[in-house]
Amino acid sequence: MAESPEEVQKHMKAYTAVGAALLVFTVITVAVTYVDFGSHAINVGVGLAIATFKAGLVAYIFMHLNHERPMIYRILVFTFFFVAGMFLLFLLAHSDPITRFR
Amino acid sequence: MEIPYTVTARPDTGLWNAKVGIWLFLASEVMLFGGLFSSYIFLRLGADYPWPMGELQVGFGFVNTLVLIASSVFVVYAWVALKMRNWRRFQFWMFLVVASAALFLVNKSFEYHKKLTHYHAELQDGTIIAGHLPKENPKEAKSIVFEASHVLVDSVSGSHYFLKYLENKDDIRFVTENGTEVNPSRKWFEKLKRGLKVRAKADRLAAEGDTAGADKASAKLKEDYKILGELNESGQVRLTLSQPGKFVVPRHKALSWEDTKMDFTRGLATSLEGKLVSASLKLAVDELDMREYLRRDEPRDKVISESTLFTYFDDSAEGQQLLKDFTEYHTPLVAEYEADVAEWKAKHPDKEFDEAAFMEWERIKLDKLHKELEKAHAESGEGHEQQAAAGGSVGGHHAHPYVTIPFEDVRFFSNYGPRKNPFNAIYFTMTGLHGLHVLGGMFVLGYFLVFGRKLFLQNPEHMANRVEVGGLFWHFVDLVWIFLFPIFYLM
Repeated sequence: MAESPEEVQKHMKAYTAVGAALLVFTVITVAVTYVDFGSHAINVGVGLAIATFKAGLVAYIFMHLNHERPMIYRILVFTFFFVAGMFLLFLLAHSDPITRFR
Repeated sequence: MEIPYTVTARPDTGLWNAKVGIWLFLASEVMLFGGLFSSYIFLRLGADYPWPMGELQVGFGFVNTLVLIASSVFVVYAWVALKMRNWRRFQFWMFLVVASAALFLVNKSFEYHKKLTHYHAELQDGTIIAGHLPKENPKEAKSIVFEASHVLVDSVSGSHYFLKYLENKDDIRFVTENGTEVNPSRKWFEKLKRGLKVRAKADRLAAEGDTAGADKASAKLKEDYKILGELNESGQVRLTLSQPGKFVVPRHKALSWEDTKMDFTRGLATSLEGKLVSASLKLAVDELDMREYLRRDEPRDKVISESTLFTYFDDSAEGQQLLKDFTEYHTPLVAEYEADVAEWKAKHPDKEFDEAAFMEWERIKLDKLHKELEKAHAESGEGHEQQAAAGGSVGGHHAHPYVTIPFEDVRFFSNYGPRKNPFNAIYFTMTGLHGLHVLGGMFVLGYFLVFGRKLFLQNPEHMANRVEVGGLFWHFVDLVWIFLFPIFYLM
């Protein structure tokens, strides 16, 4: 985006803060593996939730998705649906209603 | 031709072109990595063995995560510097980005090297050991070593490739049965094959009644292809070595071996006569994994001592000590496990028991085992806590006893490369592809760093946009790693 230098300069603090947050969350990601949340599935869920949050920060702040033109969002909506569809297809192929209940 | 809309927005998209371009590219990248992530899920859900957890060293992944996140911040700083029209500051931050990328790759290559030089062997009875090859003669530790006095080569399908496995070939002369010295090089084999053709031609002409032609061919045979006289009735030449030839042959290149004879695979069509020195795997044991083995029989602790592994230790005292430690360490775990199984069965009388899914025992690292045992002895009888192995065992080389296992008793042997199991395969595929992205990003951003000054002076906003686009790619690479780190190292 064509931003004015003043605006860009203002964002510097946000970038630093996000960077620090990402580092902290990396430490948290490792730390939570030592905590037992009840089942392995929940532990995996917690780990993925933190990773998703971190990825969200990167996309939202570093990749400027907090203030982009509509065109970019249009592209990303398609991406989202295609990826979701692909994952769904894989999981459908995996399901076995006779012998697997999980 | 001037590329349009490098700085100003194109009216229909509202964006300068490269921005749309990079996002379309990133969209396709999302699909590329998405496919691999779903393969990972597929492999993991479908695994019919306990999925390896805590096998990778978290330290490597953790440091690399920090490095990539830091570089992501640096690349934004670099872009901001260009927006402020400050070339020197841009250079400073961009240099740090490129250095971070290099650091990431160096770290990764150490990790890969460690995996590729760490080995895994499954015995016929299901015992799994992990370890490393001895520092001296690592190649011989996983190959067949044969001291040959004679070599039998085939004139039709033989080739000079067997020489590749002869360690002391410079000191050796080859002599035929009739005392002729030969050099079994590629040329020699080619000549042998040409000779066979000439002989076939002579035979054919004689059969057709063309005596003149047949005589001519025979004369040529006698003159140029005397070597054919050395062939035995199966078309082989037996060469005698002037001194014992030391062959070091990978297991998969050998068809069969006995105490006095070794056959190469059909592709080489060569046999050795002499003395078999060794046909066994020599490993320094780092870890034992008996889950697969223990599944077979009960009572389980009796079974441990019956593993063939313990008969192969070079120093049987060390082997017995290991057996003792391992059993001692394992007994409470086995009891705990049996109790869990019984509890599960009582709770779900209608469901079928799936041991593979149930068995989540951690691989027992020897270093850890000794540490645990020492701790346990110190605390006198306190239970051996078993943690999910988060950090790899570093240092503490407390006895890595050597085992020598005959090849017949090895069911599967591999390094920790992609061949080992689907976990390693998908690990190398995904981190390898990601590593290539880091390398690519490093080149692109490095190009801006080194060659960007000219464009910066001409059109600084254009340069800033380039860096923004490169930065978007770099953030995406970081974003992928944010997922790769937990799914491979932590879960």
